[in-house]
Amino acid sequence: MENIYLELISFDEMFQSTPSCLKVVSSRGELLHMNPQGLALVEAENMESVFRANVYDLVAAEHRDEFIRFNRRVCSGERGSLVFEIIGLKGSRRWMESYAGPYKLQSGEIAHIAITNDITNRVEAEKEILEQRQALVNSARLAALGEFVGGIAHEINNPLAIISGKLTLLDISLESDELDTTAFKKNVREVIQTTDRISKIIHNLKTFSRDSDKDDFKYCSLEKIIAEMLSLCAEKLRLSDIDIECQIDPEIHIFCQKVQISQVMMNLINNACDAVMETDVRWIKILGRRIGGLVELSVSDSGRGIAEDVEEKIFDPFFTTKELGKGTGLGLSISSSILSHHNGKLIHRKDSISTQFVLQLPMSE
Amino acid sequence: MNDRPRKTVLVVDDEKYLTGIWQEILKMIDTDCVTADSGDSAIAVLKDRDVDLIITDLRMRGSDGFVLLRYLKNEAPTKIPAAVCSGFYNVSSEELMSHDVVRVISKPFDVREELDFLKAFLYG
Repeated sequence: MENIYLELISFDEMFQSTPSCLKVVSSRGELLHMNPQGLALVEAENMESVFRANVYDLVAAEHRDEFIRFNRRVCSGERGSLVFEIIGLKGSRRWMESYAGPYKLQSGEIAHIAITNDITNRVEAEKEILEQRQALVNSARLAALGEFVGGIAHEINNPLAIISGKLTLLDISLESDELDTTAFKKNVREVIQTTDRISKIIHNLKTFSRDSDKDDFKYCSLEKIIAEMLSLCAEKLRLSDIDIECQIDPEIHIFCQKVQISQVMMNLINNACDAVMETDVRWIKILGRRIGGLVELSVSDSGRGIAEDVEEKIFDPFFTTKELGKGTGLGLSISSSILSHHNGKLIHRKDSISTQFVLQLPMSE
Repeated sequence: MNDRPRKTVLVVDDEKYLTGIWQEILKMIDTDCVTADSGDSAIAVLKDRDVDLIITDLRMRGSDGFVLLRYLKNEAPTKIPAAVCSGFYNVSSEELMSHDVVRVISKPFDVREELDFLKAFLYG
């Protein structure tokens, strides 16, 4: 059988004409043999010029350690593959994919025998696809940012138009002979009110900035967070004659940015306050409990609820149903983004009899 | 100024203070001003009375300015010129031109400039 093969092919010619690089490397990294395809890849003139040269020097610096470890593993009997970059003797960089196994030399020493292919085109194509994907992600992010900035531009341009318009009207009125001081004062007051509106928007926008996200996540007692938050709005609730009922499981601790969660609750309480002002019976209920593997914190109120036609818009930035100057339309959208930053969710529970918002947070160990 | 026929402008904006500014501007040139706070309420006003010019915001809390512009283009029995007054940048001028908008006023705007425009457009 063996003889028939030998008549047909010469192993040396097979070695010479294989289209992949074939090589034998010693455990110290010396090149013992390489076919012409391999020599072309490393940009060597002939085998004599590179015999016993150290192949580690051909491997790009950032892959060298990995290649050395790979060579040692193979020379101690393992098989495996490795992708690495080489720098040819004339300086060109190429990506290689090598399949290697142990090979016993006549001296008895174990060397590394490998078939290595040039995969530069494939790697570059993959890189290009990756870059394109990254560019897509970036442009989507930019588009979202653009939309957001557009929204802010609109929200700030409106009050700016009011301020500049009213001031010009005041300027014109000063040119006339008779000055209507009542109207003048009214306009001045409206200008001041409107500048307040811009500062409110800017203040709320700070939540979106990186700085406010910088707070460390800490284990906090939910009961304590709510108690502190309520102390800030107790006066408002009392003056508005709103009953507040609060039931929080004292065992619950959440891993959170405390100020951010307080801000979400503050937003929900503010919304609830505005909603119950329109009704005779005024109450707000806060309930904190564990349900399954989640912490649920709900805020319900006796208000008239959210109209169906606005329901889907309530989490949109700058959407508000409140009177002019009263709401920025940012509360729920900021709250929602804070919750997703905490791996949680902010939900408007439609099946509840009263208006109910629910914060869902993962349970802390 | 007293001999000319009195004209009416419909201002559509959900900002009370802004419609107030337009009211004062129009008063200075002896022009009547009617207001609406959404696209739909503007259409309701138009069914009730004749106006010579509309100045409308685009993004409003209720139905937006495009509801009104589409009505003007496709359904209104008579052609009424419309100016857009908006602080919303995500609208191309092509889109506005396709609605035959006569003027684009971007917020914040120059009151004196708009006074000149209104004088020229309504009475010039």
